[in-house]
Amino acid sequence: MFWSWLLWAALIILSAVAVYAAYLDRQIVSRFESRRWSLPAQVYARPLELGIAEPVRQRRVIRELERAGYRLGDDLQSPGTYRQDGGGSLSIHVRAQSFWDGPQPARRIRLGFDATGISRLDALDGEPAPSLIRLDPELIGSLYGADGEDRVLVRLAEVPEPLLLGLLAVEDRHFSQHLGIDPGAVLRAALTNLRAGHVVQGGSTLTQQLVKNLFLDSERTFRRKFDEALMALLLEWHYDKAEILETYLNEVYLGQQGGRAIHGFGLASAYYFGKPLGELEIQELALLVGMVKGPTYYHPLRQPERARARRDTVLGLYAQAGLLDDAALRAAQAKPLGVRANLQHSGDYGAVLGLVRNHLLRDYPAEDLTAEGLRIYTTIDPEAQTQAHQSLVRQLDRLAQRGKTGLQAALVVTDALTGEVHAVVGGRDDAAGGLNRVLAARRPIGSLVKPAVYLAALESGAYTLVSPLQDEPVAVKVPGGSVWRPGNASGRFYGEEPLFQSLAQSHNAATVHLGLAVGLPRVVKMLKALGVEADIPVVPALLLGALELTPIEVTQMYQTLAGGGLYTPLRVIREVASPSGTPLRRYPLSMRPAASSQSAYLLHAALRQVMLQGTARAAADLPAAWEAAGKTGTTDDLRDAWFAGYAGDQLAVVWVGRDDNAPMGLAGASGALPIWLDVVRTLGVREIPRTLPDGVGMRWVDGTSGRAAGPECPGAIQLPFREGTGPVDPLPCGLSEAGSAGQAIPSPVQQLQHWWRGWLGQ
Amino acid sequence: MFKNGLITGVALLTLAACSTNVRLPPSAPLPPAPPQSPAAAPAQPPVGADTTRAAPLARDEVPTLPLSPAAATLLVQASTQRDRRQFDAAAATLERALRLAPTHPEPWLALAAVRLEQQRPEDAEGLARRALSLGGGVRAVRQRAWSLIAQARQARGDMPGAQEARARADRDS
Repeated sequence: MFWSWLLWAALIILSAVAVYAAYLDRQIVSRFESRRWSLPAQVYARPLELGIAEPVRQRRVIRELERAGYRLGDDLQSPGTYRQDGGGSLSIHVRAQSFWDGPQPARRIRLGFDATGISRLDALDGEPAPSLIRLDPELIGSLYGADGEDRVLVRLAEVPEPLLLGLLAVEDRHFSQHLGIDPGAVLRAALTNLRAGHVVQGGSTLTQQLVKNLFLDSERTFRRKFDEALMALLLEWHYDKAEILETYLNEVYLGQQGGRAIHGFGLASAYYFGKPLGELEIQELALLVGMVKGPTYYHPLRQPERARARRDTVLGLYAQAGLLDDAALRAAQAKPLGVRANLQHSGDYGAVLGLVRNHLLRDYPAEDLTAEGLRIYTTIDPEAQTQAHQSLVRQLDRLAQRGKTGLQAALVVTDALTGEVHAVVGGRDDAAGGLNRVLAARRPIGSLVKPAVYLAALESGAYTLVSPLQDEPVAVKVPGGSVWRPGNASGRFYGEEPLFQSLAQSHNAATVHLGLAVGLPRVVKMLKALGVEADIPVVPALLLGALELTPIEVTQMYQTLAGGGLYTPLRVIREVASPSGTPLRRYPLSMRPAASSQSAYLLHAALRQVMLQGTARAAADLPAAWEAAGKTGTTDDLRDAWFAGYAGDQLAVVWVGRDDNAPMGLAGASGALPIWLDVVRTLGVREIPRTLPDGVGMRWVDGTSGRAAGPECPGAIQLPFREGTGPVDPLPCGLSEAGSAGQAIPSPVQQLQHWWRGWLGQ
Repeated sequence: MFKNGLITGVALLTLAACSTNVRLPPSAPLPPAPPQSPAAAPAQPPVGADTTRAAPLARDEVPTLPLSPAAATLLVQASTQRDRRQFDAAAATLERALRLAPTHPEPWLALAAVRLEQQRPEDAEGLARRALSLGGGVRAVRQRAWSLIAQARQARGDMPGAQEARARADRDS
């Protein structure tokens, strides 16, 4: 009776274990298969093009080389090295790369520079000199899933031998023989721990560590230990050693950056050293091997002494194994840790990655972005990105010093001609996972809407830049029986004024009169043509910016204005390639006319006046050849400050406000324009010729009244007009000037005053 | 060194205008480019507030436009790709040229021509308009741009618009 009970009990337990093992087995196989290939898309900056006459200075090239993990090497023997020669030239062993249009082999080249940029490009490898060569683009981030796991896949064959040997020596000496668990190691560990009185050594094999990382939580229970051992045995039964080792190399946890978990040696190499695993030196490999034990405890920047001691221990093991002789060991131990100093700052691409993800989601399912290892080649210029972020922080700090604290800002910089996005800053702190205001801050745009009203008016053919508008009280009946009476921010009305002045001074009542005369449907149509895809409320308040857009949507609208009336979809992605480099998809440059070149040119001239004498006259001293043009925007109770404008080939849109949408006491000109100015001044611009379109000519008018004037008159400006329109019969100087009415010719003293004031920029 | 390495845009423009099959021989002797001089603005106001001092380019004031050797190489490469009817590749090469020489009308014109081949007339017209804005001071640029606009409008079925553009092109031929 007793024996039969026991038999039954044993049978039940055995079958329970068998069923449990089968359950674990199914889990392991399915999860191991899917997990092994879960590769976040890798996002690259634009490659820097090097060629004769490119306006690139030596310092800029060196910064770019440092970003791509190039190191100084006098002999230029290996790819990824460079050397500064005498006479201001720079020699580089450029790494082999694959680009959309084919591979670019590794080359040794020498660059010469003059005051304007690159003046020479010679080959040092005996091949013909290339006319153009691209540096490897910086890896700016990955599109990982909600778990934050990021990795760059490496194949076992690409892994340097010292890394493998070191890893096995430190973590699992009997990896090649054991079946998943190593009882000897467990015993040794137990003895060591017993002697020490606390846990100093673990007996886990690489397989057990992998199982723990892949399938289990960090709970320390007997049940978990049992599962771990059982699963390790099962894993070894299903897969061979090479597969397990390769998966381990890509799975192992090696650090944390905010919400991003650094997994695998491929990414760790890029993250800590900024270069591919194959280029790491022995002491760098040793550091990574040593960090497996505790990436936080041995963090090379936060705990440099511990990290260094750990690295040197691993190097000692290398010497014991005969990989290093004494001299090489001493040399390696004498080297600094060599970790990138800007580990913290590599999170500055948070808003960029958000925008990239958004664009890709139009064409790819979300799971493909986090799992397929796509290579995304973007338009982002790391130099512009860094400087734009610094400008934003610098100006917010300046406002904070004046008591305007708690402000946030968002900034987009694009190429005014091609719509390529060069920089995206989502806030003061732009780490991944933070609030991306570029995409998320949907706010009323205020007066930023006005250019659409004026462009619709100019396009209708019934208006010129000097058509008289009435800045007089206006009352509009709105549905619901109430009456809307918009006024100006100053509380005053300015009476009759030329059209360009109403826009330059951002007068509300004049704009409402104009918009109602042109008709709301035309204004809505123009906004859509300019690229506004959001819902547009067809109400009179639209004319003053009762339209909510995100900074990126505003950028799209102003892209069309900067582009002379040609709508160009913003592009942040140029190309998508497979993990092996096969081209998958290209996003081509595209454009279509949204307004006639004539009207667009007239509006450009009016937006120039905004900067020269209007609400953004703080920008009046920018070089005239930059042809800076733009518009301020301010919303009710000073909750949002906007500036959108372009200068030369740079278009930038700035929003400043509070996350809680509370009033902050700043207008577009005082809150957002300083950031815009800082950005364009820091980045500099390439001047763009803007030829007069057919059927448009320049005329001299009085800068205040818009009446015809002679070029010799004080305050006379040139404005464009369509043929057959515009003011006629120049009046003698002074007649149209308010202060000197009745005086035909200003006295020499008045002329001197004008000259003096102009000189002072008043 | 830099100045002598420049290729005049007009050298390319002329070649391209003769025949679509003509390519720029890389070893061809290149005429030296005159420095690009901003158009002299008409009389300035003697006194007064800062004004639009940067006067727009007037017609035919700029005889030639310099193009960097790197951009010129890409244009030649794109023209080969176009001849082989590899339009996507040609467009990609031209976009690369555009990024190097964004203010030169030539890459815009060449890309407009490729977009026509790709049956994208809206893009073609936009790109040709951009070339006009950048280089409308050069007769050859005007002639080619308006001729491309005419073809683009025709492809979209806008016959009156095409005729108007054709007439505009003929004025400069």
